[in-house]
Amino acid sequence: MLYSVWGCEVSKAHKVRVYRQGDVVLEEVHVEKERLLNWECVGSRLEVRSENGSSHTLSAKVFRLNRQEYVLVEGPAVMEHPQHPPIVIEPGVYVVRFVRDWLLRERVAVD
Amino acid sequence: MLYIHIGAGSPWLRSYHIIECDTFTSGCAKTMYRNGERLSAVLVDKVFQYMFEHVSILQKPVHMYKYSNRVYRVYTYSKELKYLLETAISFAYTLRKYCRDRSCYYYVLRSAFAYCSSTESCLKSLEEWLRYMNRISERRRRAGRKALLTRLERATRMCKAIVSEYFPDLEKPPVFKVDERGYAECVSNAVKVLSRIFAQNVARRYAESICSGGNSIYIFARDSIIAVDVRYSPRDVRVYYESCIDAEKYAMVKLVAVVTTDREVNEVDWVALLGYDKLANQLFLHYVPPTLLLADIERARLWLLGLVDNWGRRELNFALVET
Repeated sequence: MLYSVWGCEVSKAHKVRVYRQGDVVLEEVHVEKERLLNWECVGSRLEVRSENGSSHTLSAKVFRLNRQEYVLVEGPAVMEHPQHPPIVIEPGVYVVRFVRDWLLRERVAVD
Repeated sequence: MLYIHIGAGSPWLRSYHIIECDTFTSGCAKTMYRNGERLSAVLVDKVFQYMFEHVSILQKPVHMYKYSNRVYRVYTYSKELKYLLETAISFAYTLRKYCRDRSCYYYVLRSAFAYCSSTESCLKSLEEWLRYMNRISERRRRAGRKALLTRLERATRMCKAIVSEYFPDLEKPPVFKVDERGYAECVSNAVKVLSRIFAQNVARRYAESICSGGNSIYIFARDSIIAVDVRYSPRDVRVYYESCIDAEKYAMVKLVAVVTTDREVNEVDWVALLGYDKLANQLFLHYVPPTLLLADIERARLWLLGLVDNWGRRELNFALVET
């Protein structure tokens, strides 16, 4: 069974790949490559600084839409960090997220 | 002359609307559209349907009209009717708390409205049921709170070994008292304390959060574990371990801060996960929604990764790879 996400047809049985290295989470999203290329490209390397100063790095094109970063991984790539074992990221488009915290959540004004 | 207009809505679509007016026409609902009392039809619909059917005073409206997807019934105002409506509303809310399934719901409704041929006997019946349901709900509530405390105490004993192995500082962390005189002072003092272990922006966001929610003791962990006390009134806040896990890559304990009185949990302040990343040799502590108080610890961890919602339900069909 197929459904459409942002112009891509996706099987319901398809498992979304989610990678976590420390506080950084990469979650697979279904976006057509042509569509992604229209977004603002902010670099060819993802670098996310952790709280202790060192960085998570991944060689992949980084795009930004609505203050949210996405990475386009075109071949298997390795995300590295000095304190964590490297992790191999399969090709795909991923949204970059962080481990969340209930106390740090965005507060919604309720009238 | 005064009239009571009862606008019947329908569950999930339209609320009930009760207004008092000196006219009996639909002009009342139109001009008083934003006034009066609104009640969720999900809560009160069945009770009002029984009332319209069984209570003699409600069987003969002086006027009926449709407006804004509600059917309004108009009755001449009387203190008796007003009191009956107030009692029925409390009855509906209490019934919702008291009954756990549909058969109970209908049983209580049938029994309560069996005596509604006269308003007086109807009121008496509703009040008797109301008292009974309140008593039972209170008894259940207290039993649940006692059971929760027993569960937390037992889990705390069971997790002692893991805590003393991986988080020895948790037993007696340094406590920093934050000045509670006002929100601004609280935030600035909390930032000073929290910036010892967090970057300035993270410390500020935590500080704002604990000072606005406040009145508790919060625990934070980075390289070490500290406690920040932002209580502005005397409260016996205790931190229990709700569950724990010692996995291959991490050890984790779910912390729950509660206020207890009379050997029962009175309030739950917060729920957090304290963990030790064995690969990175690093402590982490993240708060999770209090709705995950009794959820499995692994499910609570998935909430941190954004893979389940605030009730621990899966939002995605995912394959997780971690290091």
